[in-house]
Amino acid sequence: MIRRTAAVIVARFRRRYYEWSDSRWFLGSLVANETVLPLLGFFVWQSLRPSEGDVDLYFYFLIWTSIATASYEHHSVSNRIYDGSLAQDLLVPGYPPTLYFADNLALRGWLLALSAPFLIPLGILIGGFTFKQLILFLPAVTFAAVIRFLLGWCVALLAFWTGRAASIAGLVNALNFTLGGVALPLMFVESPWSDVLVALPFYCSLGLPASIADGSGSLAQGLQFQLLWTIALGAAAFLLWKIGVRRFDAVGG
Amino acid sequence: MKLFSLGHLVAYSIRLSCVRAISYRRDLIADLALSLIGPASALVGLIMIFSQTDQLGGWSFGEALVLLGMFHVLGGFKAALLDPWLGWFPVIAVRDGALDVFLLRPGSPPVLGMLALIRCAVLVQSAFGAVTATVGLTAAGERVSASSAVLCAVALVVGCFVMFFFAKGLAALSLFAASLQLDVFFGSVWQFGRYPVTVYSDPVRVVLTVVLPVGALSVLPAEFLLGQFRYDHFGISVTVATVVMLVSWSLWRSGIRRYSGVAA
Repeated sequence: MIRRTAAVIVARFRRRYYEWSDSRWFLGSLVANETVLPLLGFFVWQSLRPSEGDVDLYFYFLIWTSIATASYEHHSVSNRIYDGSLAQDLLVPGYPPTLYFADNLALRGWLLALSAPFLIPLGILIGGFTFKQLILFLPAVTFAAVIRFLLGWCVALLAFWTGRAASIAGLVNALNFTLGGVALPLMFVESPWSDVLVALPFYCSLGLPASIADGSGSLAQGLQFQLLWTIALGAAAFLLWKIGVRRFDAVGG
Repeated sequence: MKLFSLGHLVAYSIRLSCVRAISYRRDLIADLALSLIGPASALVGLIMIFSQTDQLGGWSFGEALVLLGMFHVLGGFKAALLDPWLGWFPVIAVRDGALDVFLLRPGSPPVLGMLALIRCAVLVQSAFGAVTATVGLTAAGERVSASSAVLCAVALVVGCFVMFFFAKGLAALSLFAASLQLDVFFGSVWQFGRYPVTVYSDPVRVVLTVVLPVGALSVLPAEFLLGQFRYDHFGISVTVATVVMLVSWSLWRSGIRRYSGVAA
């Protein structure tokens, strides 16, 4: 069963990866879209705190996190629910959400591939981080990617009930900006607000990996919250899919 | 297109969009509420930044609020008129050939396309922006003279025209390469206008003022409103606006020549 699911994910990933290769300009605009808000935060905080080197490092890793965790399920999945083409996916052997997970991985693969030629030299230019920090960044960003996918997936599944899934995704993006460590890095927030922010899924999926990489965040505490949100959002996604599919009326003949 | 018939068409399109929106009242309420979330989060972001400082790029909190307000006034216009069209144009108009229909109609295809897709509900963002700017003026302790208000209104109208021509130029690029879809890019670049351009480093500031003039669009009306009119900013803005219009016009013209209809 696991081997078969893995084979389906790999096959779908390859298919989508090749399909995306036709739309590199559009993928470039998605990279710009994921980069722009962390970049804005970087400019603002660099002008406010020019002497603090950690700000550069934090926003550099925040850009990486934003690109590595990009999720557009409110476009892809919601639109398939609205136009009825989800029916085709329900007939494919295997658990349909795994197909969308593979789609998401393919998209992220492209975004990372397109942004790496710019971001790696930028990282060398900024400097100031060790190999150990990079190693600590990896598990945190992996969990962040899972959380952001599950959050995006849950919002996308609201398309079973409402025609405004994309607008609700806009709400989540707004919360990511204000509470996810983009508008205000956690290093500038005082307790108890910082304790509240660090426990939220928005921060767990964006700011946390960056703060672990720049040394201002705690890996152990962060991973605990990330694990908690992965389980909670995973359960919510499972339930929403199960209930939503029962409501779904396929179109076509 | 005669000015009178254009005005008539705009009024009719807005009315039609409102009727369509009111037909689904729960969706309308959701649209109104969700349209305010983006501007509200930007406002919270600004408050968070000013909890750590008194000045942002030389602008006080009240002045930055006025700037953010102008950004949302223009942002409402963009979200209502330009975004739906910019998302629709490369996919439906160019790739599927729906542009054929608009080319045969008596009027400018971009204007007719935008009016057909206008979303009135999101104009609430502009209203939110106006309120934010008013609060900002009070916080900054500024009194607005009649001439400042008129100049600000003129700058906003000119800003809308520049955005229209900028969007038209971006859309025209998809007539050269059909896979180009620049609505996401436009939305991303637009975000740089929410803070004063003085926040950015010199090269970025030049790009945001001259190449992609989103930085200047909200700054100029805010400066008028705050009584901080600067001739150099005005001169640069007029020059950039003229260049954007000319480039957009020539891109559209040569793009349309290359276009071959697909809807037979």
